[in-house]
Amino acid sequence: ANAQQAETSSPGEALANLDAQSGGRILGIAPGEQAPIIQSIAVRGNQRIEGDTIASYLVVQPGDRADLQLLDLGLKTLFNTGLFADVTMEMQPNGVLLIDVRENPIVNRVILDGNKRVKDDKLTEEIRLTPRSVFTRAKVQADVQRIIEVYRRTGRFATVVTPKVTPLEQNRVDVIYEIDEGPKTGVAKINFVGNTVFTDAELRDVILTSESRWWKIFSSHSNYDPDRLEYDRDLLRQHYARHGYADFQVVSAIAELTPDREDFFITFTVEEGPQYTVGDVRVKTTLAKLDERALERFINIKPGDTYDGEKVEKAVESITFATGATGYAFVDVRPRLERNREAKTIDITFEVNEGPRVYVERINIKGNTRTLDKVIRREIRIAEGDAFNRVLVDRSKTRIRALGYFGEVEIEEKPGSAPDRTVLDVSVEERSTGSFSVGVGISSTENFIVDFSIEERNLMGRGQFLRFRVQASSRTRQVDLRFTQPYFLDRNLAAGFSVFNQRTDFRESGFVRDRIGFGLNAGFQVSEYGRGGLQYLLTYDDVTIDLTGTATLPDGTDPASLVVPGSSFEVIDTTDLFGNPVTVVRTDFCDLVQNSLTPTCESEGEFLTSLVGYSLSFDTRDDPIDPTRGWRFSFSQAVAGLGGDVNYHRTEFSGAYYKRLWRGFIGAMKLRGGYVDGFAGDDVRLSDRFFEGASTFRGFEVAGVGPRFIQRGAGLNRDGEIIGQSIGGKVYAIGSAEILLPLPLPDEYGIRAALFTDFGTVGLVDDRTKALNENLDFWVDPDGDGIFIKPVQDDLSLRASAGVSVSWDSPFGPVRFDIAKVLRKEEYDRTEGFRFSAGTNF
Amino acid sequence: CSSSGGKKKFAYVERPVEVLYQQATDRLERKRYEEAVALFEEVERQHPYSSWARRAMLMRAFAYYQNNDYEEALGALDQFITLHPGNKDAPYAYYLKAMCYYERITDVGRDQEHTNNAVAALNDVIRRYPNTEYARDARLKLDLTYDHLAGKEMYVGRFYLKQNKHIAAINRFRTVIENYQTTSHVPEALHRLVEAYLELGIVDEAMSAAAVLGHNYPGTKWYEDSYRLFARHGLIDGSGRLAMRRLPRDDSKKRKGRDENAPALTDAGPAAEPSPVAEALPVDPLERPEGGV
Amino acid sequence: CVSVRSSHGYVLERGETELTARPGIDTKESVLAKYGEPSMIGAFNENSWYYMASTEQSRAFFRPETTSRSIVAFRFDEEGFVKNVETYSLEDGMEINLVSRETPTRGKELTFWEQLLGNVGQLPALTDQQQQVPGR
Repeated sequence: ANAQQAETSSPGEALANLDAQSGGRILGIAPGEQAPIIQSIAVRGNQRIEGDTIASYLVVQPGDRADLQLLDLGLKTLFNTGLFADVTMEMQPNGVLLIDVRENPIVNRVILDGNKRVKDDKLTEEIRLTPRSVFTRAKVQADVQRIIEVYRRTGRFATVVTPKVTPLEQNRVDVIYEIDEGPKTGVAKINFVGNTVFTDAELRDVILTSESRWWKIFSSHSNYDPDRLEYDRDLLRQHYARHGYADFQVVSAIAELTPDREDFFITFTVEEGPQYTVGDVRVKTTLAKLDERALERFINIKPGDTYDGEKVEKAVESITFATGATGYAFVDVRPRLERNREAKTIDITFEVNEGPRVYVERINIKGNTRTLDKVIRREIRIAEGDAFNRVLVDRSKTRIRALGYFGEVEIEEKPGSAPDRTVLDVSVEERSTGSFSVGVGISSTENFIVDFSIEERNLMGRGQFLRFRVQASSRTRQVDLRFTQPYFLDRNLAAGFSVFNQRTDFRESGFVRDRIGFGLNAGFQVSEYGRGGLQYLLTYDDVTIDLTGTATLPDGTDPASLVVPGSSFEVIDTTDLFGNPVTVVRTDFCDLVQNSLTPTCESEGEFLTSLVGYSLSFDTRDDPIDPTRGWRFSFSQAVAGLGGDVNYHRTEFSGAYYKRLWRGFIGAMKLRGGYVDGFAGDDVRLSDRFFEGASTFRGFEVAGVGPRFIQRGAGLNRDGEIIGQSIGGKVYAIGSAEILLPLPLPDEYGIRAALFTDFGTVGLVDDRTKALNENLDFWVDPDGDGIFIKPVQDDLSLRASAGVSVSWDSPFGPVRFDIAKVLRKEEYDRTEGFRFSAGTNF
Repeated sequence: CSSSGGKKKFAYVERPVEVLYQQATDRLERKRYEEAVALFEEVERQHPYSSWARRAMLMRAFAYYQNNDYEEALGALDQFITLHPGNKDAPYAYYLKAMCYYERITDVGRDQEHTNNAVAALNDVIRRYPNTEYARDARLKLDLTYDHLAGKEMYVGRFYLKQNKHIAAINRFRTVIENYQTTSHVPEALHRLVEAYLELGIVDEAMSAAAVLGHNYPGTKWYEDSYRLFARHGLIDGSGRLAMRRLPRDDSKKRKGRDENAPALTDAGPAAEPSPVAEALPVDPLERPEGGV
Repeated sequence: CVSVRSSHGYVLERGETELTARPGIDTKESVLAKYGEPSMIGAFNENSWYYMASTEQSRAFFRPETTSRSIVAFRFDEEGFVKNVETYSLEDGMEINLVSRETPTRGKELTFWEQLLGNVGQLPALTDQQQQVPGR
């Protein structure tokens, strides 16, 4: 109860008297005098800390001389334990050394008040002063600074923190931090002085700090942060160096706070200097065995080019690598630039000299709390005992990072046990590599998609990949389990298996397929950028047609004759289109003799496919997700017929080429094609043929392009398109040209827009599938214009479409819009002007 | 965190210290560790100067430890040690600190940070309080920890041996033989050296490794493996002992200045007196430098 | 397909002569000055120094095979003078199949479920009571 009452006294001045903490005194010893012997040590004034603990900190013991320096040393050690507010040592005439201490109080409670924007727990994390710890003024001052630092990081520079202390009985205190947060200080304006080559707007894109605008709710760069300003100076220097301004420097970067402390005005004063072009480029080496001309071929800087700082660094790396490959592991490459101001040219000489001969003595791997040591060590291109080679160290770092298991990867060089030995400390920071996602998606083709998956990319820390996934939508239901072991049998060979059960309703083709499959796959490195793959797939398909068919029964004939033997049917009396009575046989669509020849029915039934295939893929793109340069090409062939009921061979290829056009526009050319054909008398079944459309051919529905079977009596749908079933083609070739538009939005929103044109064809079916065209009564006139057309339409003609495609990595998941106008099509193709799909996984 | 919930309930109920302490210990018996921690904290907060507070701080650390909250336990123990270094329970505090690391030692494939901390903490206990029962248990656990560090060296050594990186492998196995002589991995390290040296063709090194293995660990399977390797490669002489000569090579003229009577292994033969490593074997692992990873 | 070549161990800069030493004249210090620290020192006698260089070739998923290996061994007498110099090459190597047995070690192994679901923080704060030393 008495704790409350003490709080009423004004806490402010309480802090002041604690201020008068003296530095401790030593009495009873005149400096010149002979130091007396200490008979015993007595401690007074200690409440919490035991006497013998205090004595143990003293340097002097009973029986020693009370030497002034030793006593002073004891005094200092007592003080920096931080436990005592005041200590007085008195050497009494009777030889007793009296230590009189006043202990620092204990903190009872720490109260934060006035913090609205930043919550309590975020602040208590930073504060050192905790209940039950020892109170010292130094800790309070340090905590005040820490609180201000937290607010500074969230962009509030006007925060004021006043600490208050209220003493309680039993030498305890309550500490109160009164926080006045003050307004959020944004960045009102960034302007540049002295820039002629690039406009202010262009330079604002280069630096990280950005002006705070109301719609930049996500961006964390729009508050003022002095360290980021330093980094911006570096970004500006690199940007200019890439465009030939070797002498560029940022004279000053000043941030002025407006009087109301609401905003900052940042001004960069720059001196651009002249733009340099490259004079002559030479390699000079003292290593006798190196051929300078040969090394020059590794530098892609030609005299007359505009000087580019980044290209020089790249050249240094490629020379180091080239010399490394020819047996010189210890090489030190230094670019020397000679500017001549009048001609505004720079001569670059790459000096290649003998570097220090250093060997790696030991490689320690730290931080791997889950991943096994060998999973990381096998990615390191250097073994213990090998020569230290920076290029190999860098490549090892990128390879470890490419595993995707770690947030941070650092390789540090530490001195070894001998001058020519070094130790590599590889420290990694584990990241959770498992993901447990439940996804809901909407798309115009499958209306709703639900996706549940649990995936672990680093199973048991052995680098293995395991994913169990269940996916359901209005059109498909799929369960699959996939496992891959990256270094199978300790070789550079990734091997894995997958088991899946899939039920797909191809409404466009009128059939439902139930598939159970088991697959084995293996992948290996073929060359620097190339990867090869082998695959075996065993699937059991059960295809059913869930349509009903009717046939008119001419009087006097036996209904069974119209129906495939052994299937059930009903005989019904109804009226035909013109109202007169007729008897009709109704059964499953494919059980009618006349329909059994149609392409859809031909694929009904259960069959086993045993397929073996290989693939080769090359990928030199600079970034798999947002490529701006480089190309990708893959080629695969597969043969089904190693046992099983189905025999076909399939070849597919796909390629893409990306090039940076001018000012941020990125051009992409893509081409995909494939050919499948049966052998040993087999035709290609419906479900094994190619169906293109929707995402693979924008502007058309799913399987909207390609051969189509028009059933007797089929008409037009509301868009005036012929209602028919897509039966897929044996050949497809689709190209697309895209231009990625640079959007003014900051790229952390992840919005990408592109103009595109897709063009190509799908077609070619087996003769047996076209058998129906010989039988005239199957010819149809869907648009009722009196002209009858073949039921199985298949022309390998060119289709084309053009439009805009927008994709956005929204916080709830990827969202995609495709708006397309079809330019050329067959009248039986099915188009789709607008396609939208959004998926979330959380 | 978990214990803050409890604290709210007790915050302002000022109660005599014995009652509080009693409630805390009975929660501890009933394995309700979070509540025990909250109650011990109350004892410290309300009666900071009583001898109960000192006792409560240590018991709070023990409750955290039992609840496997190792970091919180270490925090409380450090607090106790700085405030009461001279206290009679200080040895137990140091010992509990060592246990907080010891029980988190992960398998050899992963980061051995806890193992290193455990070695440091166990040595602390042994150095400060040599003749307590804590030191006796610490010495036993220290041997097991060194054994674990040796296991890590072997793990990496085998990795490099499988990858044909002989320099790396041989140096790792030598580290085990030199720095971890009393661990259970020495016989295997010796055999791996035999395998590595034979793969390189340096037969005399392989023989000296096998000789030491045979002399110090005659009964182990590892010695049998080495012996079998030598037999298969025709290096066992008539008397069944490891042949002293090098494997005769057809291009003998290529060998320059081979001094025939080099005293290669004669003195280290298995029957001869113990080899250099033998006397060093029973050395106390304590003074050895830190076996850092 | 393309094979990747890599060299390991001591680096004989192209054009440098073979490692040599004159018995009786060269000492440990002169060898150290000329060639730097040895790749390996004899496991049981300090007086054998080995310098080893090897090159390896690995193609697709086949095991990398050592294409060349040269080892130079310097034997020193008690006073540190070079006694003799021996060389070993790839032909001296013997085919050894390594024993698969391993000396057991303890330590807390991550259980399957703990691994799959235990993505919360690095240290699985699991209360496992079973007695397993060290690690318990």
